[in-house]
Amino acid sequence: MAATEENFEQFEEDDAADAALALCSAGQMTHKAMEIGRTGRVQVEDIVFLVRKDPRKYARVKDLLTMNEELKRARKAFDEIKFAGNVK
Amino acid sequence: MEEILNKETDHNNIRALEHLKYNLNVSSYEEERMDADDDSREASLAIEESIKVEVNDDINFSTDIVDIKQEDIMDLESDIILPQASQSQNSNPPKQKKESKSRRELEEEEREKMQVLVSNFTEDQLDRYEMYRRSAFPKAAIKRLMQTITGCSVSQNVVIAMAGIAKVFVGEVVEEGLDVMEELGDTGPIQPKHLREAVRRMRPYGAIPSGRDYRTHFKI
Repeated sequence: MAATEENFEQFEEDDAADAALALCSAGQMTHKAMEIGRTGRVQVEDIVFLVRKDPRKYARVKDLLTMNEELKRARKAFDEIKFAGNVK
Repeated sequence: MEEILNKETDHNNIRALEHLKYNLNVSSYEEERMDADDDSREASLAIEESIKVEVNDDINFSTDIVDIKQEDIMDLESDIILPQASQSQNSNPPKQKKESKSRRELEEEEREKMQVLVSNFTEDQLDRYEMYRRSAFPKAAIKRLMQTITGCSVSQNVVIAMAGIAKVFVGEVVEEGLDVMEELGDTGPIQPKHLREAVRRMRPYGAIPSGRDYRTHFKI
């Protein structure tokens, strides 16, 4: 177990470089998204347009946004139930 | 990522795993957002149970959510299988009902398969799977980065989408790095040289977003 823990630590150190790379590329993507559609602003449609060629990222973005909508709806419904319960 | 999890599964399972990755990735995200189970985050002994509970909660909680996602998926599929659609137009209504039922069944089956798979993980695999599900980019940092670049505020959905994309990007680079490592015959943790080689390989395919277009466009 100790050996695997060491592996994890080193894995994370090299992933620090990887995370820096990912943030850099996220910044580049933001820059590109600014030029699409409405200039100067980044909107969700621009991001979806940018990843349309990459199936994994496209599917992930779609899933995340759909889930987020569902969560918002569920939370709203839950809060309304709670509210109705308190009033009664 | 599937190489890490299980090299011996057959291709059907790998495909199902990928589908479920996308579905269940989101559920781990939802757990973080709802800030439930703060205790389980710290306790490392309860991890196994929490993952099983998470998978169970998936089934209980998201039966309503399943409809919309499947419609999305079916829309993408129906674009591709046009030639077969013309044949099935004769018996469309009953077939659509069957298809919607089988979609739900497929979802349920996939979740069950995922449950079985996770329950058979070794300790090591369980740890790695938990890391995979629970890791994420901090939304505050991404929001700050994007606002610095754009100069104007960005909406929350954009931050969420960008965080997800960044995570998938890290996954892709790491997978490529693992391939490089195997080719060189090294073992153990990935070294920066593997990652650098991985990035170098991915550039021609336009997988690394930079200001310049590295793809070679052939012109006549």
